[in-house]
Amino acid sequence: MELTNSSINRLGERLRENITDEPLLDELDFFRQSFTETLNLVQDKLQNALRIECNTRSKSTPSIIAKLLREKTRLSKIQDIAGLRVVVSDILEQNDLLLRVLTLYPTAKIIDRRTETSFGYRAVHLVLTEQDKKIELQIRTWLQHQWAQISELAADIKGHELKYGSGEQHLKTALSVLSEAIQTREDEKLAGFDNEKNKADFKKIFMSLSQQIHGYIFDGLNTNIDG
Amino acid sequence: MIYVIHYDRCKSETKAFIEFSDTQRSNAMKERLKLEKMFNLGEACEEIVLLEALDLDVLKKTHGKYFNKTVTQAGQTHY
Repeated sequence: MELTNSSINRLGERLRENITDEPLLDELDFFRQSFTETLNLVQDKLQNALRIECNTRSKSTPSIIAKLLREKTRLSKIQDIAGLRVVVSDILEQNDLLLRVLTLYPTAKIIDRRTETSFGYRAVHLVLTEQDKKIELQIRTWLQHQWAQISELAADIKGHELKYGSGEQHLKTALSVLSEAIQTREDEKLAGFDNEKNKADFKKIFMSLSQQIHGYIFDGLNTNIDG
Repeated sequence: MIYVIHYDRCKSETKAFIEFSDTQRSNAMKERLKLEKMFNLGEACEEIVLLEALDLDVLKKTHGKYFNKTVTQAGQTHY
């Protein structure tokens, strides 16, 4: 099977029509597998040169179809078919890692979702080019990652439109307030106002909002988060 | 290590979790494709993912939802 931009885009068109028969899944799998060697090379480079623990994933079929439908993009243009994720402790470490990755990949495209948030989602994404392929690296702080996980859970249960500005208003508002609280906390850290009182105040807000959001997600059922 | 996970998004539940060594990559990919063919056809709730991590603890840190760990349950916190 030969992969050309045209054949990849034809595959994308059929996926967009929600045709997911077995031959098409075989073709999609072949396309995804074409990233494996490059993805592992990038992972090795990051781990060996920067001593960071990063996990890899290739985009799932439903996620690819959803993206094709949502963004009306071509399959060959999707930049996160294969990706890596790193979770660092805080925004200072995130900035430091960003600079270190840029020493390895100086031409990387930076998508800074901390300044241009995507409906509350905050992180730094880099599109790295290796062996003529695009690999996405997500760098999240622990707090940004907590928000992303809550948002993902909400989207799984209540509908993925939540991640793109639609869906239940009370849930969207609560997620937005939590994202803003995290941003404020991270701005404090950047400004050097990282004291125990700020940390304790923020933790209370974080836990309270998280509990509230879990309540909304599970419609008031008892949830399983610790304190 | 390579992990193939079958996750039910609507129920927030991991239905299958299969672990492969780094040398079993092609087996892991075959397993993902097999599960996709079994479950993905027209089922919006079903998600089959293939993830790779140094070990399970690292995976739990970055992809906690597959372990039902969403907020502050997994390891160290960083407020």
